[in-house]
Amino acid sequence: MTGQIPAADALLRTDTTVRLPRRDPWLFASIGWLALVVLIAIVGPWIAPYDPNTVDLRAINAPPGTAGHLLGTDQLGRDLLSRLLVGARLTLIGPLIVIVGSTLLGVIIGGVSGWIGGWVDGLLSRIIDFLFAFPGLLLAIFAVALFGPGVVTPAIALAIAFTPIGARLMRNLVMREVRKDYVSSLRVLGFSGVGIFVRHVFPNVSAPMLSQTVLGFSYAVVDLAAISYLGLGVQPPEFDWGLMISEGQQSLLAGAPWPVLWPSIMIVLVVIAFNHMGEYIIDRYQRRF
Amino acid sequence: MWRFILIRLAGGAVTLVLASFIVFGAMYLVPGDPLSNLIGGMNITSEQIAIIRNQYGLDLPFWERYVVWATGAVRGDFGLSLQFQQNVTNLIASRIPTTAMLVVMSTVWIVLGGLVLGAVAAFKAGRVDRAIIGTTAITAAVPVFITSLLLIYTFSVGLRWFPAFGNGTGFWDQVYHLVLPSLAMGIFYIGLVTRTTRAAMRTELESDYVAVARIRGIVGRPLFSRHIFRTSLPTIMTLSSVLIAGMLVSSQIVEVSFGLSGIGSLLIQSVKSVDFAVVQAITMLVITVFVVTNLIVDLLMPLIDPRVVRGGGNR
Repeated sequence: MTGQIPAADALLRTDTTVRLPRRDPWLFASIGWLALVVLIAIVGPWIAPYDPNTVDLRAINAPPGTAGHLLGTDQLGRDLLSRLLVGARLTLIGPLIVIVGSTLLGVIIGGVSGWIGGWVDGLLSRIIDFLFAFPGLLLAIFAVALFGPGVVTPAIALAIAFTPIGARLMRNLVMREVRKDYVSSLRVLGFSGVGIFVRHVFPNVSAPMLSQTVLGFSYAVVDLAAISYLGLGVQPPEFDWGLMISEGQQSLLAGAPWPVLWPSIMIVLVVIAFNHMGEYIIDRYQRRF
Repeated sequence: MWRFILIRLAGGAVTLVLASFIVFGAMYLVPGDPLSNLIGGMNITSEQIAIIRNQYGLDLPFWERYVVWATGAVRGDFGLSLQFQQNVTNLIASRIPTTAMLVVMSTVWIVLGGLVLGAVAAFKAGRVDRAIIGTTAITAAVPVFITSLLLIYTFSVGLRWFPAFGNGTGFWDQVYHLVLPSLAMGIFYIGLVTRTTRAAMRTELESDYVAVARIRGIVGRPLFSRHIFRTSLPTIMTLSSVLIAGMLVSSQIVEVSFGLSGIGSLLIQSVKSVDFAVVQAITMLVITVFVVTNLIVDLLMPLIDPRVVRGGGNR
């Protein structure tokens, strides 16, 4: 986890994936599952059977299947199904900030660096190298020390920490494209640099970048859930799945694992689905040739 | 060769200086008066305020403040922890053995587990390979804190084989207490090393020189140790930076999960109580360890693969 990842960059160099079929059933399963999770994140608060913060001290750590509590309750007797549904939103908002931020920065920095080359590339590459010295989670924790806990602060820190991965990939991809004949042909025909970049080069490098973005989302989910688990993210009474796991640790030690189990399963399935989508994209891209 | 070493050393030094500048300067990015930020919500006497003013040189201009802090840091003096009323360096030093042992034990799991599983998957195509790759696809999706709780539930709450909490006393008792935490940290990265090892060895297995070696009658262990293992090592070594960074941050999570008093749990505690001197010191320490270990790996690479010094040409 933690941002320092064998990203699509590594996937491009070495074939770490198992060959995937063109019409991959797991791809449809992943997309379907993620669509469901996004739907839950949107409508969760309206379909939750209970108020997720209602404490019921008569039903502490009730096991799954207890009358009225399909997934059981936690150490304060709060309904776990409701908390799972409501917690989805804050679990996904952070990673969304990370991915939008780091992809934009990565595409711009890497694109400029690879397209212009020369001293600009030298300078930007040094900056990218320097950013690699900050492990993602460490930067997020440091940011929380400065600006206090919450959803946005660690997300912005992670966006910065993830930027060099996408930027380096983008730079290398663009550099490879720039040398190709079609770019010089278009230049000879009198097309502007920006036009060639936007209309021709960018579409050619977008598949690996998309794969990187999708994989990055899963790393962001893991890292931000860890931040919440450490108590540095969302603060009660608000909560996400990471905080649910942290609060459920008491119940787990008392022999009631379900307050930890459900949010853990959700996180793991989301991460598996994103990872599979990312690997599918890079696999198709490699076999395009 | 010397040029290669000097460039890498200079790069590492520049990175550390810039990082120290950011770690120090960040305090002044925060809105508000640095003094009240440093104190946070803590109750302290006016004498202590004077100490902090002096320690951070708050009466001096920014650049001089940085120099005061940085020269102190280089000498190992990071000031006073407000939450513990103790010298930061001593505080951290007392926590280092636990974290160091945790990282070492984890490294053993990762290197042994990853290389063995990866080699097995590379050589045993078919069902064994698919089983190993399928398992690593799942372990690569389970965050470290979930693995920790899974292990605690299975081996501490259920089977009662290992303790769920604390450091233990004495060497072997500490090792015993760190079995689950180091495994929790390791499992995620074992999958990563397995996949990379498998891919690297597959590439070698399919290459022409291996076919030639086989024709010459070199098979079995000599083929593996002299050819395939050595040539796939550079690819596997590219993971080292990922692994080092990963373990440095994962240890923080694992220490919190298992209630270990190491550097990571100290950092999290200090962030929560806004004990900024400790946060600065640990952040700087982690970055330094990361940069220095990366540097060592970089400098060792030519011994494994002489091509790196020539700048990657001729591949």
